Amino acid sequence: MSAITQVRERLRTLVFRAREERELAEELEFHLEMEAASNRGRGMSPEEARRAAFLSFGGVERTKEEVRDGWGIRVLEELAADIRFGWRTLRKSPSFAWMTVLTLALGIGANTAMFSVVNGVLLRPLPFPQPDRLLSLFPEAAIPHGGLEILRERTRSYDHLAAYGFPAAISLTGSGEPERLVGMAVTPDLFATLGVGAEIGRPLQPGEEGAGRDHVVVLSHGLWERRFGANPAVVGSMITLGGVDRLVVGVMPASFTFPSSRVDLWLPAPFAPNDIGIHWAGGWLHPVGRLRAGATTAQAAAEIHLLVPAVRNGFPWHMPADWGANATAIPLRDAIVGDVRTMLLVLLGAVGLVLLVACVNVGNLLLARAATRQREVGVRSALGAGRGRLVRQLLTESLLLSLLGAAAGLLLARLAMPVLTSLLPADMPRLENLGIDARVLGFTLALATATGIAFGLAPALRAFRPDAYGELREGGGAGESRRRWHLVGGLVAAEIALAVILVIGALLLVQSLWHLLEVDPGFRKQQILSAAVSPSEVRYTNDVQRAAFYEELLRRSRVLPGARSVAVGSGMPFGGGIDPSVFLIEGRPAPGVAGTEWPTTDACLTVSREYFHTLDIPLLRGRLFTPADGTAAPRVALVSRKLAETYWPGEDVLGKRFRFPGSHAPWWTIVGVVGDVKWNRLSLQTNSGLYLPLLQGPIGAMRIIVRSAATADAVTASLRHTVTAIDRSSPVSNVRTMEELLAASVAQPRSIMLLLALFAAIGLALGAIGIYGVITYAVNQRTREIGIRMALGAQTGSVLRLVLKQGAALAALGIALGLPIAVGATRVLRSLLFGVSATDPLTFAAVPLLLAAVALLASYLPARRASQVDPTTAIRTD
Amino acid sequence: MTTDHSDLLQGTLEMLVLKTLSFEPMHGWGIAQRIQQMSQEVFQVNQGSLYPALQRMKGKGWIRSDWRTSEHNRRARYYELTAAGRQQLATERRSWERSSGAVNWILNAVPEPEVP
Repeated sequence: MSAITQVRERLRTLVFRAREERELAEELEFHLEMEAASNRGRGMSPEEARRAAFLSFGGVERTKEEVRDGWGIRVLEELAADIRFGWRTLRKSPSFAWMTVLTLALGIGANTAMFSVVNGVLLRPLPFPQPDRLLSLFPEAAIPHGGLEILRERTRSYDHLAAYGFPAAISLTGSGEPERLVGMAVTPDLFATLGVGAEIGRPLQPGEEGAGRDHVVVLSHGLWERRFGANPAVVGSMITLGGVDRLVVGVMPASFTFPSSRVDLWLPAPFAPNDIGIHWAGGWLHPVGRLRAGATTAQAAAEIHLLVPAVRNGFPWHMPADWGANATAIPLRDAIVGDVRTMLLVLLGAVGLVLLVACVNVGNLLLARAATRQREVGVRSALGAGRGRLVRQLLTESLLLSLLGAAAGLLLARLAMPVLTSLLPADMPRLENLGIDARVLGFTLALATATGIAFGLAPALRAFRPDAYGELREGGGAGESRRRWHLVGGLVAAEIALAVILVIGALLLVQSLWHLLEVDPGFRKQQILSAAVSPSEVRYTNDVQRAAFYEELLRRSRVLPGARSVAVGSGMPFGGGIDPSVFLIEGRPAPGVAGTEWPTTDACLTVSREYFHTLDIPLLRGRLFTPADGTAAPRVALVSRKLAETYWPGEDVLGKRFRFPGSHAPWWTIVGVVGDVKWNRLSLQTNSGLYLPLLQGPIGAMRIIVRSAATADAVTASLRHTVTAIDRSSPVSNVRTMEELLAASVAQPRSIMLLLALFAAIGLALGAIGIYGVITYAVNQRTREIGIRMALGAQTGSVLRLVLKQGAALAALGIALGLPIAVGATRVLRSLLFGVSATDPLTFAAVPLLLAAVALLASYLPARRASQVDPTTAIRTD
Repeated sequence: MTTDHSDLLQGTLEMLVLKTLSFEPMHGWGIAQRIQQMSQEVFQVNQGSLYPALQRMKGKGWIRSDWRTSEHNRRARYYELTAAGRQQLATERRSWERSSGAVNWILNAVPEPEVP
């Protein structure tokens, strides 16, 4: 056997199924044996009979070859012919082809772009080895280090159990500008658990959490490039973080962004089993486990549930009985992705509706074209083209269109990705490295095939009615055009129904956002600028020194450009530093007895005297802080109205005393009641607050809040200058206007609203084009009828009405179809809505009116043309 | 736009196969034997060329095949006429009759008398 034949044989077995080969050989062998047997019956010897059989057969291999030719080549040849033919027909009607491909490109492109976000955020596996074995425990909450230790002792489901904390700001000082970085406290075995190594140096190692060994840090690739000029020598050197010198042991690769790309560096979480404060109250952690071989997520979740009481009882103080009730173990990816799933899926659904609208439009274009091609089909069918062959031809054409559309759509998606990403909330996890990968390509291809078949099938099947030959006669019958009108009209009605759903959804979200922005947060929103100012940990080591730093800052800041009022606070609405805090009320039983729970405030802030004036938080009773509330004076506090009403209902709260947990904690006297504010979310109820004066409360890094009529840039520059003048190693960071902070807090509702509105606009535009096209088509079909009517004396107005009625009927049908579906569809929006019901009657009444108006407008143009028909020419057409 | 009448012989073979299968399902060897018998040994079917023809006809959907046990208790591939095949047979028969009628008519024609 020559090399070439061998290769050919190989190829053949690849191309043709081995089974077919076997069966062919068997069939021919059967033939030869039957022939030989018959020959033997005529008296030949077996050898002779066999030889004669071969002779009369005439070349077994050649026959096989010819049979094989019939196996698949024919289909391929026909396909090639169909594609060539389709391409030629498309080139003959370029405007149709452009229109179709562009419509599809829009639909498929929007879907591809949206899907690549869904893919990147929800589907793409985490960039760690065996990412599906990584679980997040207590995803809804977190546990203290002590709790983690109990889990480590008791659990049997994991090879590794590590944990990471919450991103926390930390100052980098020393060489260059002081800078606030985002640090992430982790247990040192986190890196081994995830299965990642460092790019340079090494990651943290087990054992580096102990006091004395924990002055180490691992840098992110981004920080290393930005701050250290990608100098490898930084590994092994010391840097000053939060006033502490730490050894840089490694730099992580660029792909390592855990748990988000905001993190600049990773530090060992404080570990001090003998210090109850640190071990059970400081630095709560999210445990991450790598499942042991053979263990399943379900087992792990069940196990966590069983271990919750052990962790709860491990606390040195009484925890509420329902603590950890929702503890479970979920895939780490889901925990990192968090609550954006609903939003992304809603958007993907909406963009899918847009594609459906695009499909309907293209289907209509094809149907209209099928009308003009009816005779071609008739001729071909008369010439002997089989049914299946013709359907295949028409489907090939629509698939060709949809694939062209998909190619253009991919291009469009690539171009649209930056826009889409900028519309998505900036804090959405895993947004970095979005792109078009194999899965997205597969999705687009599947989409293109499905759409090609979806919009191509109806016209293709239309080509087959029993009387295809009838098309050879000039013109179709009246019955035919009515049947086609039903199909086309039905499609347009479906399109309007889809547009109704999209527009209602978008309008609900617009109202929701509007309500959100109208909410009174309880403080002033305008002309407020704030920045984090962190006194150097080296120079200001205690509360007294830090208070002096801030007093000095406040004194100097009065001259900031345009400054009306300046304050500092350990936290501020929408600007961070808001943490719940517990306290004890004088004269009430200590919590922990008989299941009583700790009184809790949503925020406990240390603030300067001007805080309330700067933010315009009203004083309701009593007094604000005064200069007399100094270090040595009796400790005083302000409470918000909600806190007063919750814990001192019907009592006069002024003069009441409370203290914080701890054996020798001093008593604080409430001297005033201020208004409630919303701390973090406009959509939630107002929160409670507890305020302590600057010279008496605990002081860490604080935010300065400036109310100024000057531009943010001018204030910022001046502020930086002021801070540097006091201390060069105290960084100013996170400069934000209140508008920016509020906008960031509604970033998610805003982006989902914007995108859905965009999709609804596209859907509405496509729907309008669809109605326009169909009514134009209908008018053209009826030109002669209209001409006769006018010749018989019909007025322009009545012709106008005739055509508009057709459009109105379609719109009415579409709306009637769309409304009930919208009622169901908007239910998925319920969790995203604020201040408006998912079945808001006003919206559900207004949108049909809008759609009706659009439909009438779209049919008005062809209607007017029809009414201006010249009867004499019209009658002669056709 | 497939017209398979370019090769008259091939077309004829297909018609004969269709006719043969219109009586009962049959395997390849049986078809060859039957055609030979029916045509009173006038057509010597090149047995090898039968199989590519069967494959083609299967591709057009005129016949279908399945494996059955033959009269001698052996596994054999049997071919069977489909509805499309039955229709095709009728069509081919009509066109054959028309064209053979036309040929006969031409062959039997007498010269027209010349107009003075």
